[in-house]
Amino acid sequence: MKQILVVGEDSLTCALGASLVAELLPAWQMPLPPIDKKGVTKLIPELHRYIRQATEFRPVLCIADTDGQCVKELLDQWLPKHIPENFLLRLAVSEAESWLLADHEALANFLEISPARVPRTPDEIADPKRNLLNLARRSKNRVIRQEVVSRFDPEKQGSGYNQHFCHFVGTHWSAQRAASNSPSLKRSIVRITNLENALN
Amino acid sequence: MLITRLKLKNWRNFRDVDVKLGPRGYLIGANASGKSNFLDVFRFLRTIAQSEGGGLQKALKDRGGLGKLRSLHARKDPEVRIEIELSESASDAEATWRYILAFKSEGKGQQRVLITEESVYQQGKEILSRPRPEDKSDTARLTQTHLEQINNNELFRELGDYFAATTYLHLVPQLLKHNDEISGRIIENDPFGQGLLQRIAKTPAKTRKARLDRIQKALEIAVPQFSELEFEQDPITGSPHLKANFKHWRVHGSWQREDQFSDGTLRLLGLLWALQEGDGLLLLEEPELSLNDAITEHIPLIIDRVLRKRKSSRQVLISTHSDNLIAEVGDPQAILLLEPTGNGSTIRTPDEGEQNAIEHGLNPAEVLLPKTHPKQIDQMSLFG
Repeated sequence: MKQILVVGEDSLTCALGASLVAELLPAWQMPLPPIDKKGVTKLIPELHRYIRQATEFRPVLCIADTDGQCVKELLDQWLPKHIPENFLLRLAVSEAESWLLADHEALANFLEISPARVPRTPDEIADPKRNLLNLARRSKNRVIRQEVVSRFDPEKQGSGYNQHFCHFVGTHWSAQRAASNSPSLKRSIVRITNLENALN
Repeated sequence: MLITRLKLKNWRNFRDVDVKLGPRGYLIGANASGKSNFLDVFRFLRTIAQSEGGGLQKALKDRGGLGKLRSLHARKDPEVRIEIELSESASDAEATWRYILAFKSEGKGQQRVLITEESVYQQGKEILSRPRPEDKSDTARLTQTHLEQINNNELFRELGDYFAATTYLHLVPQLLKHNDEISGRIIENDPFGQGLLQRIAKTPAKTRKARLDRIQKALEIAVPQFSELEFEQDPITGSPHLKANFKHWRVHGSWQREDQFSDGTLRLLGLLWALQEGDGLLLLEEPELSLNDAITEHIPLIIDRVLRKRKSSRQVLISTHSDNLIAEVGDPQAILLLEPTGNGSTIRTPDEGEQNAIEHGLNPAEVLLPKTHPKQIDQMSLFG
């Protein structure tokens, strides 16, 4: 059985990576749970190790977000010139939260809000995380309201933010559905699906 | 000498394990997977082998009796068995020593714990095998090991001495700082480091100075503002103290005694002292506690470096939960992964796939620590 390692800059990108593999490469297996780098600053200096893993051992899917910067510039800055075809670094534009918003049906269901409130072009939103927090604040589910949004500052995430949204990604979110609203996700799906062909 | 292999049957939460050991061992596992129970075997053997106030019955009593020691998973076979091999080096084909001790409750009358087997092999040759005929006619003999009896252990006293030299360190800074207030009784062998100052005081002055100088150098790097470390005896009470100078806006800084040191400073100090004293096995329980991450990741290097400078090396077994510490372990095969199962915990080193992943770019923490995480931790049910 083919195996792939998922690396994410935080727990949410890890959850997205795991879901992408499960949905797009159903015959593949993840030998390890995704590696959570706990911050992009810890991911970048160690990218070379994951490139080595892909070159010498097994494919690697690495997920981070652009935080509003230009994708091409970031990739040029972070990656060496030659990377193996089984190493993928995919960047969510502009944040992982955009990909969550992109599956508006599932998100509205999960948060128990009206789907009309969820923006349709999430890649173009300047601050998708704030957008997601605003939606969570309107949730009809009390536990979500209390844990996803900070009690002290409604603009900030609460202590259960990652837990709830990782759970959402693992159980409700669909990459294929979300792709129709997010061009950055759509491109990533093509590349991940190609992995299957590239390695045959 | 070092312990190269340990086999356990019905020991606490290990129903049946067989582990090879090298000069360093890093034990990882979920909470309650048995890391401390594994280390406890060596403390148990130490108590048995101790010439003063030791012995099998004492070692059992310290642990609340056989009932608390025996694995809950031992259903049919009630016997507890320890088999341990020691060699001069980890690469020796044949163990220099092999010691086997098995015991169980006699199951009637006084319910004494009786030895069912005690054997010693030297270079594969049997030099002790019990029970002997006289043990059978006088079962009281089976309540004591020959290891603990000077009259009976002359052929393998070296083995007993090695067991007795084991040190266990789980320094609890508060016990050391507030020892007078809580009138802390120091438990035998001082597992919690309360008697650190007394041990430092008993060390010959020249050795003490050399060791403290080395510790000072390490602490200067690890602890901001730390500059000098000195030993002093209180002029009135005579009690031993450590004092350190912390640089600040005053020209000469300020001197502080150990009760004002931070928890992390004290733990690091205790660790560095322990590495420099004694010759037997050293057991370290979660050395990362109270320490900054940046220091934790250097623990494997600190241990190797301090021990390399000594004439005789020490074998070190470390229990840890620290991501940073495990990430820096050079030899993945030194990592022992404890995995709880429905039938007791198992212990293993990285398998081929894990070893390969580590050799090709990943670090041991990335590959192995996820296996110690509770499986359901990401589910929403945590704490209701």
